[in-house]
Amino acid sequence: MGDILLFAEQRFGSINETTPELINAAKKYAEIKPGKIIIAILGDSVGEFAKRLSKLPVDEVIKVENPLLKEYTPDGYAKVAFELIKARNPEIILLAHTYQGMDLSPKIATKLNIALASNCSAFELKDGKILWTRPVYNTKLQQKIVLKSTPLMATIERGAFAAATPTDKEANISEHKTELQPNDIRTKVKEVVSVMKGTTDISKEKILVAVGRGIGKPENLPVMKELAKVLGGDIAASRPVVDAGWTERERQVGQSGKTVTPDLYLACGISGAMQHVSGMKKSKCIVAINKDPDAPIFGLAHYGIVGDLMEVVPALIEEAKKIR
Amino acid sequence: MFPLSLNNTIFIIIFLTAVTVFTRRFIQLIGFARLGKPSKIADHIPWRLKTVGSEVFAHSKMFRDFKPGLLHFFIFYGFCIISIGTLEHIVHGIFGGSFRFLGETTYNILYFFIDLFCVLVFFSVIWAAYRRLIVKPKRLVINKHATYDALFILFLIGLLMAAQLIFEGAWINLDPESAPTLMPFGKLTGALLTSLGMQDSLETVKETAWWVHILTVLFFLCYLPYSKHLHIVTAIPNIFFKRIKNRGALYPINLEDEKVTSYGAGSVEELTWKDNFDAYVCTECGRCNEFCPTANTDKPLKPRTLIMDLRHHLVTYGEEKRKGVEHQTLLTGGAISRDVIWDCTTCGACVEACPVDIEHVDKIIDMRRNLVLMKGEMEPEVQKSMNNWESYSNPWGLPPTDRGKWMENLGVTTMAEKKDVDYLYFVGCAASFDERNQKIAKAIVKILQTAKVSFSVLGKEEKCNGETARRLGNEYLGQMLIKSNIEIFKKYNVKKIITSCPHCFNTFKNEYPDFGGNYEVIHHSLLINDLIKEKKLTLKQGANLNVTYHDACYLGRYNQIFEEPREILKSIPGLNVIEMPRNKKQGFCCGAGGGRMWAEETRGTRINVNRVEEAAATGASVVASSCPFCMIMMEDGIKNTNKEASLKPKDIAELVAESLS
Amino acid sequence: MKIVVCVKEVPDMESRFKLDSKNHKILEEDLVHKMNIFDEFAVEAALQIKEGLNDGSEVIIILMGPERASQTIKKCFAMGGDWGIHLNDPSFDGSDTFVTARVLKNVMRDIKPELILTGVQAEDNLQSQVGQSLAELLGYVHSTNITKLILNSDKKSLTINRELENGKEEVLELPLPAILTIQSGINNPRYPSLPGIMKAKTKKLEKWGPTNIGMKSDEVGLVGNKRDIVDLFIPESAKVAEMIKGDPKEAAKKLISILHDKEKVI
Repeated sequence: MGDILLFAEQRFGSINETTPELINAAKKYAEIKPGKIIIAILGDSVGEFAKRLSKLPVDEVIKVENPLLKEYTPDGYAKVAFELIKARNPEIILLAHTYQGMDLSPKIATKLNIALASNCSAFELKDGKILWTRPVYNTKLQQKIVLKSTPLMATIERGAFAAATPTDKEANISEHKTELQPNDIRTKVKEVVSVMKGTTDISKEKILVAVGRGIGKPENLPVMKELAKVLGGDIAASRPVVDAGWTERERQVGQSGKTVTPDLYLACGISGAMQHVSGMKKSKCIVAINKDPDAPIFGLAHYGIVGDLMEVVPALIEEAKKIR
Repeated sequence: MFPLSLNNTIFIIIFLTAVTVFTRRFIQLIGFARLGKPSKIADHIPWRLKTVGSEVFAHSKMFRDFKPGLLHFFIFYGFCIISIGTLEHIVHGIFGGSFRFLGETTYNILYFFIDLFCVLVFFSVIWAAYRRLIVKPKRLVINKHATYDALFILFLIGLLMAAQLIFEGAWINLDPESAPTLMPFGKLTGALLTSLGMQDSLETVKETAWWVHILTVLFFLCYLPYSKHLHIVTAIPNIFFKRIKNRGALYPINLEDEKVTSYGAGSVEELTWKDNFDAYVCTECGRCNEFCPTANTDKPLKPRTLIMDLRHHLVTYGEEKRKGVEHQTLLTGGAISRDVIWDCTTCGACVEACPVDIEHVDKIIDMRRNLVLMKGEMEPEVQKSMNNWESYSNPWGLPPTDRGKWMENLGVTTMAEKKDVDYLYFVGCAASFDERNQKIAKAIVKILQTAKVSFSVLGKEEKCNGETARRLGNEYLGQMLIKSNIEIFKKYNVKKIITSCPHCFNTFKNEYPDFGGNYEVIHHSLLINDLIKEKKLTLKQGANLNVTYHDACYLGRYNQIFEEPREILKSIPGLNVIEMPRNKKQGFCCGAGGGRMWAEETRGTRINVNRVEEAAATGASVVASSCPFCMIMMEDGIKNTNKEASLKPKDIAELVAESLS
Repeated sequence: MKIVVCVKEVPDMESRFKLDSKNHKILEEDLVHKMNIFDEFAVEAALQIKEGLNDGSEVIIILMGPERASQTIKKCFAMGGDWGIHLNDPSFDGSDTFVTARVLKNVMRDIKPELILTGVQAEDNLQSQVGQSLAELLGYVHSTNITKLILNSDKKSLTINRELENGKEEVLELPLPAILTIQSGINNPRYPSLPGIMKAKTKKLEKWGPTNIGMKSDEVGLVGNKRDIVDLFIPESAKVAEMIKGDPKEAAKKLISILHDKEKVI
């Protein structure tokens, strides 16, 4: 009955959306290997966060407050994590596979001289061992691995688990005083900048609604833009659309345009010619909408709808609005 | 005639001065050109003489544009004949003699032609000036300086002719007994002089006309090396020393030579001296621009400008070197911009058109080689393709194992399965991977199987043959691919290759021998044409369609295959072949050659759209082609101009396959 | 200054992978191998620093992989890398990130570089661990997902941009020695020039096994691993495109529900 130690993440005044997912993952873990779920939250003033976390399905919240922890630094956070792990001796340590999780977790694992399973989308118990499922080969394949060191340590893939919802119980909040010294931290955080300076960069988008010649005429673009907006993404385009001057070149996806790997690529009225496909085929989920059932894009897409764009897209907008 | 020996002395001084000025400058110019690398040129003499005969004396290339060809024909022959007269003047000026020693009949005949040509040339010059000032054909519109140069030259020639005629007129009037008898126009001029009341001053008139003529000639001589008129000296040698190697074959770089540390041409010292010399021959006629795809779509690359810029740079560079001054600009990426270097489709229309045999394409390739091989510089999307060739042996970056997928269930054998066949059908990257072109490959397979041709393909062992990598300047990558292919062909003892791609065809036929690969290479249009003639294919009556044929540059212009594809079309019952205005040797490029298929067309208007509009304007409902790149370009252009309903692009193989009974 | 770049050769990700289910591996037949894409950016970043310094600094390439991977090291040389070490020994085969980090630590003991660059992750294993672990083992400071890298004028520290979620980046200052994992898009990896390719043939490339770094063969490879792969498979969704039937309204409804609930992309 070992403890399950989690590390929450907070920045820019809020708890990261992956933290409730992490808690849910821990909950699922506790179902197969019962244990106390302890979640640690680090920062300079995290009382509010700790309270919020205590309402989620955890057994204990440990808050670690120190001005040196105001900004995330690997030195600072890893040292604190190590202190906590040494103090609480958990059976398993979990973090979310965020930019921070990715930066921090291997350092902690190495301090402990243990193996780390990163970016896991699932786990199961088999023959007394935990099998971790994770994507490999550019997510084309998946592997299952078994860790041979203890404690176990893994980072959980963003979105692999649903977010845990608050319970009617409130977990106990304890405090840990860290021995962190200013000299321990070698990284100086100078500022945070936004990359989006108004110039279109579709490669940063997680959702792209890509338009091809199948939209027929530029007058049909606004409805496509609306779909993109409603889905929380942006417009991309195939070459003929850009060439025709219907949208900017920065939005072009393809062999001689941008290569994109969004979570969702909605190919609308795009036939799927090689030159275009080579720029988006690594997208996580590809949906194709085209009136030609033989369009090559259907051979590449995960989902397809054969139909008139101008009928399907407005319907998509309506449905998407419902789930917002 | 003028016994004053004082005149002879003055004349000799003036003459020698002019000759010295000309020679000194001309030798300097040759010196600048010779800063370039050596170039082997004095071989195959009979062929060279034949070429000079046809291009110079028969004006074969000039007559492609008939009217200016004719007027230049007059001016050229006029220059040749009248020069004999001028020579006589010079001899007279130095020694005081004449050419009467030739005998009276010969002398009379000579002066008949001199007289005739004076007038022909004079009117040609007026006609030329009229063209330049009033008609203003597109290719003659350059800039003020060039126009003034051209008009000045025409003026000088006109002046020469007028002076000669006036001289003759005065001569006849003064000396009716001894002056040549057959000078009809001279006689007319003489009559004109009389009517103007000049009988009393005829000596003065004659002497003045003589001096005007000779001084103009000598002035012209000094002016030559500073103007485009230098072509009268440089054109014939340039034509004589033209590129022997088949135009379709790039000059390979010897990569084994460890002493070579610089590849391609970054400066005029790295071009061959012949490449440099080309620049002195340019007459700024603009015929190279006429059918050039980039010149016609507002791109910075205009072949004439390229050569004029090269000339200007060469002279500047040469002067800087001579004076020991630091060079202000470089050639590649400087005097010739990167946009110009990369936009070329290597279609060869410029080289085909040039009456003085300037080789534009070779220079561009060498400059590309410098950028790619020395600096690793190329357009980003082209770099992607280079990486794809290296890793996947195809420009799309698709798995090599997918290469034979298109032929599943068609009963096609691979060499690995059956190598004891007559032909290797080299499918090529486009037909292997591109959906639209896979249809063409299938059509070809249908035709070959119907005609019971024995063939196999390479399937997943097939690799790109390196043609395009070479044209993009990556000689190293190109040669690696070539060597790989030769190894594979050796493995299967390949002797005959069928291909449906003119680029594959051109490289296997004209370039592979440079690397030890010698094969009989047949383009599918030739094979299909033969099969039809041998009645191994029966074509049934199809729909009545108007078809226009788009000549592929690498099949037509580079390898002179124009008629066979047309014969194929004509033998399909129901097809009516209409020609586009720019066809055969003057076919307009689709825009994909020279590696441009793999690059963005960011400057000017679209080349393929230009061609598609020409095709559509013929009223044809089908545009037939015989090249996979042309197919992709036509499709793209048709989509872009919303002509899908009225114009369909088809490969000739598809048309034949559809018509098989 | 010595800048080490840790490079890996991976199979081309465009390949249609065939599985050796028994051994939980992919079949190597017909595969094209190339440099891990993220490592290309790292090599370019290292070369740019070296060229900026112009003081005889070296870019050293370290690669762990089989014989065929030497072509990747040669490519790094052709780009401008100065010399390299190919950790090429059968006992290294199948090493996981735990082992790899420790092997590299022992390599670095001899080289003592001021800066070590790796790619963010290897395209095949997608672990994103080695750089960070190596930093901890060497006692170097580290940062990950670097999108901008400047060596400060004191030549003892770096100013870097680290990628965060939602289009943000943070600007950090770190002292040398440091390890950075480099994100794609930071630069344009150069295309090797031909003189570079020619020179690459003669640059020093050492072949090392476990003994060169004071390790035993049971500390590395499958034997030394701290994790075992027990299965390798093609995930469900990558198999076939699912056609959504129905009239536009129905199809739209189904699609949105799939995207939201199943695929979780919206």
